[in-house]
Amino acid sequence: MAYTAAMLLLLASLTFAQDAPPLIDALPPPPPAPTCAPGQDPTGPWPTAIIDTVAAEALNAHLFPADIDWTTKERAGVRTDGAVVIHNGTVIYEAYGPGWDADKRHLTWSASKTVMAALTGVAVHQGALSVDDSICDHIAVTDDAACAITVQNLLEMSSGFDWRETYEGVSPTASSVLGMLYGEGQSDMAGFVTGHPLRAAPGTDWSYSSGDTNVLSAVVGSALAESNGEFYPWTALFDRLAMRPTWERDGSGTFVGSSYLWATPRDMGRFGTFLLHDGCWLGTEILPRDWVTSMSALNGVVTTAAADDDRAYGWQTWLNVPTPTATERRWPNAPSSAYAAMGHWGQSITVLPEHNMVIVRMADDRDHSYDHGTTLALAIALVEAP
Amino acid sequence: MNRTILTVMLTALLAGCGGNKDIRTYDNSLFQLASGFAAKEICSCVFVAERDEETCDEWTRVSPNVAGHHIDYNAKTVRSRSLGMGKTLARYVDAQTGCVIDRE
Repeated sequence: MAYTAAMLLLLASLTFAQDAPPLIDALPPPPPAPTCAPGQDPTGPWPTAIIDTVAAEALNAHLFPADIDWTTKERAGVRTDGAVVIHNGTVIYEAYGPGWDADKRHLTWSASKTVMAALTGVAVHQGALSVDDSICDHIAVTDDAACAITVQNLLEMSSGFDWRETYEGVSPTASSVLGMLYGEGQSDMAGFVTGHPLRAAPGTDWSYSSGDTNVLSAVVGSALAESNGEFYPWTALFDRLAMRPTWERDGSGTFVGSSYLWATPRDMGRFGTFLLHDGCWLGTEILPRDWVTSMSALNGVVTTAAADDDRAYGWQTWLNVPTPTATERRWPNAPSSAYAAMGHWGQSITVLPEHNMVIVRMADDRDHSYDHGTTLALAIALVEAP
Repeated sequence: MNRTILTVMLTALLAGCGGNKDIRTYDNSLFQLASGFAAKEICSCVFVAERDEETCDEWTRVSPNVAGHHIDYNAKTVRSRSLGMGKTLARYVDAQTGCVIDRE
């Protein structure tokens, strides 16, 4: 009896569903997608209005401690080489350490990775690449097992390659990344990386890897070079942002997307502003809509895999959100919407969307005495102080 | 002299310290890695960042410091050797490409 009643109810609901207008018609139309606002980005020198307040003095004292001895071989303490804060498109703080100035390019180390993610977005926007593409759609590999790796796996640092990202303090000869940059891998870094066996299925295990980024660089290069020329990072991105960086290559000509972008702090500020504006520049959409949102959101592998406190990571970008197993945010004094390109020895390009602010710091930190969260709090205080 | 012997012994120890046999090692000696690092990064530091040699020497100093180098400002190259067992030449290309390694 109950079964018959249930069947009748199901039949009635199906009949109603067939007669009812499609549900989609009953919903309000989606809001129009945001468009690139024209004229919000600088093409020439940055508009500059340096803030000279107690708050600026506090930021300066934090970034350039008075007791730092720049001559010691130990290179101890907070050693800022250059810092720029951009608020509402205007440079409001800028300072340099001994020997550095606005025109000198500084090595960004792994902050290069975030630029590589943006360049990947350019390739997708141009229709030269899809995040679902297999790497084998674009580059040759020696082991077909690597063909299971997609562009998105690389963006998420989840290729699954058996890779060791170790630097100082661990046997150098066992370091995959040192072997890639300075040893047998430097002649063809993507080939070196894809020659490693898989230790996990692609897309199942997050493991920070400069190797993944350099495979991504080779894939993006294959996709963009034909239509944008050999110097595609400039023609497709840097020239449009009026940036003048150096990006060094491996022995095969692939840009070392993991580590070797050199740029002035102001140029890094341009890149941060480009991200802040969701991939728009001078009213032109350069990245796919939502690309920056994807770069700055906790990636799917981190969300689903067992996570620790160092995995607040998007697409080649560090985040300030809790992970499933770590409730403490990376920079508790900054909004959870903050995200950053970060590199060895203290490099960072931090974007604070809620404050319409970009904070660039180039440095030579050799110990752990620098606190980036304090920098962010002091930078925010520049515009919030009475 | 004693310092040199100590450096060689320490370096040889580090070069061979894969330790755990489960950990893969690469076809690099510590000397190759050290000369590769010194040549490439000093080249970039001098010709890309336009810093002076003394500063770049300090910036690339690692412990143990086994790599010496020579800068050719006319050819825009840096040649590095690690105790005679690892040799690397890095050359500056241009403002966009920076320095690349030419293994010797």
